[in-house]
Amino acid sequence: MRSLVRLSLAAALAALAACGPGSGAAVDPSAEAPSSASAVSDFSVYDLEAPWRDPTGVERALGSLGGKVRVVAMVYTHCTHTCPMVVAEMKRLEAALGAGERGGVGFVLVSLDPERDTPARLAESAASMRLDPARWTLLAGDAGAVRELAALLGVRYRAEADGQISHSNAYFVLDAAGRVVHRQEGLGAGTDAALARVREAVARR
Amino acid sequence: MRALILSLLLALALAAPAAAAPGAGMARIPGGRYVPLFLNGRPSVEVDAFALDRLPVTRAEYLAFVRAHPRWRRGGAPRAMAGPGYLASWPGPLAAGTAADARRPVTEVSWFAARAYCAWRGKRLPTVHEWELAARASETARDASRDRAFMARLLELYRTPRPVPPPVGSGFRNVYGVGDLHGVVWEWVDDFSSLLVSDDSRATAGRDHPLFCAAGVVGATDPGNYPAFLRYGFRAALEGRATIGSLGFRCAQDL
Repeated sequence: MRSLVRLSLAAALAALAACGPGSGAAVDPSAEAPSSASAVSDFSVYDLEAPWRDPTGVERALGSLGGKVRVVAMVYTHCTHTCPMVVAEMKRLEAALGAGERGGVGFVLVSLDPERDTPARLAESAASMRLDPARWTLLAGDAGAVRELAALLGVRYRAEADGQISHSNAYFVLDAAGRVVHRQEGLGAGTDAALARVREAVARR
Repeated sequence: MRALILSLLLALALAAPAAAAPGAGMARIPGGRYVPLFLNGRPSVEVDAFALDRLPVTRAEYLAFVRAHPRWRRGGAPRAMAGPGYLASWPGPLAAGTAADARRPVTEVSWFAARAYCAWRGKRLPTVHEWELAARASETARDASRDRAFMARLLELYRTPRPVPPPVGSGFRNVYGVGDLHGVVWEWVDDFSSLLVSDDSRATAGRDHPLFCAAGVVGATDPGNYPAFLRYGFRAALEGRATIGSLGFRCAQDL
């Protein structure tokens, strides 16, 4: 199972302790250690019930994504820095799939920007990024829905003064039941690991 | 003339909007400009006045919640919303322990659970800015973040091991009448996900400053505020499902 309190906790506190006298923070030492990236989460993302909207304005729950393997990222359409790179990496993953595999895999972009990412804006954005509507789903939700999904996936994000939203560069592979089978954090690591997890999940479907 | 001035003053006093009163068990925290430990491209943030629970939520209070909401009993909550440690030290799904246990802050609760509890009470979790604004107060000063003795006391509280959280009310009450903000349990805030700090790929996530030693000290607005570093470091490592024995919460409310 993926850790709840991640390696960064230990690292953060160790680093902080080295900075100053606060060496004995009251953190539960039984906090779980992280497990390997290929472990399957013991929960389903589809347990979250908040409603989302797709580019056509239709309301749908995350559970409606079930049945296919999904590659999911949280981004926003006004992003000029790293989101296009996350999407580009997901597209490389899409291109690497064989014709026989593609039918079992969907790609999902969830907006971090409830203020500006209206369904119409999502539709425009999908068109300008040339996302195949047969395989790509874009979703926008209210601030609470976004916060819940980010909290569950461990995605960090923050609105900055200049209108940009700083956020984790990450995407996730969900199996047909919505369990997280892979997290790809950081860019430039290549798509091999994610592709392998996608193929395993397609085979198990 | 004097009578006229008096009546004018009286009229002004009557016309002034009454400050909204906080609910029972809550204290009013006046708003104001506040400089968080990590700036966000802004010189400071404006925090509106709000109400904050005077004490962390107890096991007894949480028990009332799970009685009313079977979905939030141990074993009933979706796994996506509560990790395997959820209420793990309770003797049973509807048993919060001894009378002494019932007065302890509830811990082993996820962020999802804490939010659901606060919503049930018609409240919400405080934001990180609200929590920090309230927590920089000592018994006598609203802003004691530059008070070295106060900072040293907080560090001493943080470093004292507490295998079991002490009963609520064990900590000091600050100038607002809010108690136990330090040295009883760590507490959830609503926007813990907004802290972009990491030793892993999240460090590439934006133009933020990593929290750790050298880089973190450079980026922080008050590098001497070690207790705040500890709190931010702890929150930055959490995920929403986390259920930790030293992590509880209290609720807030708009005024």
